[in-house]
Amino acid sequence: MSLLELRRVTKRFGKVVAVSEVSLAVGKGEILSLLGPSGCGKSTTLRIIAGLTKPDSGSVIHEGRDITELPPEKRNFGMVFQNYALWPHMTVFDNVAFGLRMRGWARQDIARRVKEVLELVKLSGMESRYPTQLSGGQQQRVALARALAPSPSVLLMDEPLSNLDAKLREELRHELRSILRSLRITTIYVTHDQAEAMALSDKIAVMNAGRIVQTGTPAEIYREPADPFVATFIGESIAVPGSLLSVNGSLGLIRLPNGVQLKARISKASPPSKEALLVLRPEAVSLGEGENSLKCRVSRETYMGERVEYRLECEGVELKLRSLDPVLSVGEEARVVIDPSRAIIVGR
Amino acid sequence: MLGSLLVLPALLVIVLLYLYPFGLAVWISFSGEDGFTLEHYQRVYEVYWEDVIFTFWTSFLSAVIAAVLGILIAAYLRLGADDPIKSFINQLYRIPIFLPMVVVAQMMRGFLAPHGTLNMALFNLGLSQPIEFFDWKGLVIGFVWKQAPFMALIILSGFLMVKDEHIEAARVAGASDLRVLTEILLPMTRNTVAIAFALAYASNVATFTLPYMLIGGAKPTAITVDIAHRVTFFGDWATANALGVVSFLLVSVFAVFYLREMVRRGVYER
Amino acid sequence: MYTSVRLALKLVVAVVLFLSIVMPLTTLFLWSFAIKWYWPSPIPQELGTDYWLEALGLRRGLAIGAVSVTTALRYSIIIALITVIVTQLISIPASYALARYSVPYKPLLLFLFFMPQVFPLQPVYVNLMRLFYTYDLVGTIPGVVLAHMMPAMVFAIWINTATFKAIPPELEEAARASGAGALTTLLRITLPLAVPGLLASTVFVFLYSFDEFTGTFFIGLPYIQTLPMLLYSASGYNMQFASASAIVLLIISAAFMLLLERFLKAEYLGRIG
Repeated sequence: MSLLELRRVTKRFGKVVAVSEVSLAVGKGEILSLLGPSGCGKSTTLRIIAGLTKPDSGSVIHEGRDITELPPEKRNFGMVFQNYALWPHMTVFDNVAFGLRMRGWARQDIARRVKEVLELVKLSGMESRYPTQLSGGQQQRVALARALAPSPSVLLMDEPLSNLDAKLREELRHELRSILRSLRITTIYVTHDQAEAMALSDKIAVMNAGRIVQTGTPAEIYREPADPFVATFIGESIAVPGSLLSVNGSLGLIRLPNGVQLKARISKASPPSKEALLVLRPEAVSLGEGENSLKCRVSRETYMGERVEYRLECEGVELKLRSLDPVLSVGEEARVVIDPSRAIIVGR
Repeated sequence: MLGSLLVLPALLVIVLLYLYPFGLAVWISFSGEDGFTLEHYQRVYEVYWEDVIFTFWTSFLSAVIAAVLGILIAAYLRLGADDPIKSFINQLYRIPIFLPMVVVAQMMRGFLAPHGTLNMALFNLGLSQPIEFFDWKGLVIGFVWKQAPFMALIILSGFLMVKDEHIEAARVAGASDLRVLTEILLPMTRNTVAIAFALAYASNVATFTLPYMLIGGAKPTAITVDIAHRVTFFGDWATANALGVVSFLLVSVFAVFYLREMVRRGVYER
Repeated sequence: MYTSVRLALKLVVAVVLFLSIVMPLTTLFLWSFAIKWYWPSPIPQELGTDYWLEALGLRRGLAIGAVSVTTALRYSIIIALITVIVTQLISIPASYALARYSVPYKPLLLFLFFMPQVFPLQPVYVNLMRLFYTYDLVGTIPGVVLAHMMPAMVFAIWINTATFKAIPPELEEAARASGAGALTTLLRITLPLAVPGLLASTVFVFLYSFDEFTGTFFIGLPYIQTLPMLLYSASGYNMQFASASAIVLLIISAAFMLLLERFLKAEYLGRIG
């Protein structure tokens, strides 16, 4: 049985439907990411779980109990906010101790627990600092410690790393992952960053325009996209519309608008349909001749450091080709092969 | 240079119309026929001491009650769920701010009179004897009626500066409305609340209309009434000014706090 | 269960708040229309517009104190208008200087300009009255204007200074860089941008003067009868007439206050009257 469940939750703000018929289930100890572009309703969904926003319809079930009407302070959840939301008038200690005080803990127990969580987030010795005296990364750790201190049943995180610079973000992402794994705490993690979602989660729910469009493991989401949105949102992909001519096991034959026919794998999450989309990620494209290949001209060359990226004009279709070494030059003609096991066909 | 020149007329007005008479009040209160004297303060102590104490505690009590009510109203408007009741209260509570004190005083005369509306209502509810409100009770009711909404407005403007996230973080951490108020909202806005309190208290001490129209010369009364009587009936500026200096002293602690806070901020925001 | 208890509690509080704010107000309105109102009836036995007609000067009143509101209203408006003009002429330059230039002894100046806001003004008025006697200013319009101007100016300076501070200096600098002189910049750039704030302080000063009581009481009475003075004089012996004039004062004040409320911080609004 799942620990937390959303059942057909809908929330409107005026005429705008922010969350539409969202259903979701998280098992105990699982880390689930809500992934989607900004404005897709992921934060609203998280706030509904926290109890900060009341849904118009649908219900939130926690340990088999309907908690839709329960105010946030009675849910025993922990939450990390995008801007940390540390209380500026309290020290680090007081910030972390707050939830424990609200639960009526004894003074010594609070001191012991605060010490423990601050150690966990590597902030020992910072107890008497004020939030303004901390760096962004440290503030983020305090926010995490504060949310974890009362050992909440569910940890909710709303884009917790989005305010940090890229390097720090990556460092904290790894640390966060090891902390969450070691605590085995049920976590719902909202992000617009797919790399973050991939690295952290057991399960990803991709949201678009207020709906969950696909739920699955990171590999499933990447390899078996359910629809064009997921296919293009995840990974760096080029999508070409076409029509599915025939299906042969897991492979399909698709005809592109320019008449070229290519073989590609059909996504398991998307039932084959005549109207189809060919999704080409850079790893599906390589230099070569023969079957399943296209004639191309190099239109642009971008040097990226560890690799070179080429933009190709291939019989009316734009493709990206990655290479470790500079092997082509602008204007040059070349043939590329599309790997049928890496190119994906989804229904439109 | 140009700056000083532009400020000069305003400075002159303040010095001539405020600082000079202010200093005069202090000077006269200590001046007798043979120079320095404390006799005026002696008279204040003998005749008006009861009124000094009365002015202090009624002003203070009213400010405390107004602060508590103001905080509760502001907290409700900040934390309560958006519904018709809230928007109704949000419109309603501000009405008293729109009325000048002299109108409040006149209104309270009709409302609190021995045979006024309130006593009528109480009588029809079964109270046998009318309550006398034209004493400290009427004064406190009048002050609270006028000041509580004012304090609510100032405190609410402070509460609105507290970010939603700070409140929500407390909620999720297990804080009820009351704990959010005492642990988050009030500590984060304590200067605003203190300033509102200082202003309300100081303005209660300084108010002339309400005690003059409600209590008048009856004992005990506010020192503003005593000052007016001393001047208009006796032409006795010395005692009036000694009383005036006492009223300065009554607000001094709060005034110094307020002035320090304001000078620190540099300038008011609009 | 939980929500319905909360709702009931909220309704009770709303009703109590409503009654405590509206009941005194209703009293005022009932009194202004009461011809006969004897204890212990909850409403007047006889209602009528007699006192309103007298108050508005539409019918001659026979009762003592029943002079027309219109004369007092005229006094109030004339005094308020003069006060506005004089106050703004002095406070706008001062505010501009405080916002833009480095003025020597600024903290001391700020302190001085804040003092009248917290210390009781009555003792100051008492001594002003003494001083004004020597210059024959007591009981005159200029005397009352001076009495109103002093505290009103202090508020006007703060509102105007905040207004000028809110205008980015770059806008003035850009004008100067495009070849406009100091005066042109002031007239074409700064003042137009400051108009909303200056209007707010103008309304504030007008209303402050219009509702002012204590200063007029000492400097103006008995010759200068502004509306608050009239209300006070009638209050002792003619409840109906006083209530009617209170309502006139209330309506005008509330109308201006509604205007001000949008533009000014809460701290200011409570300082009128």
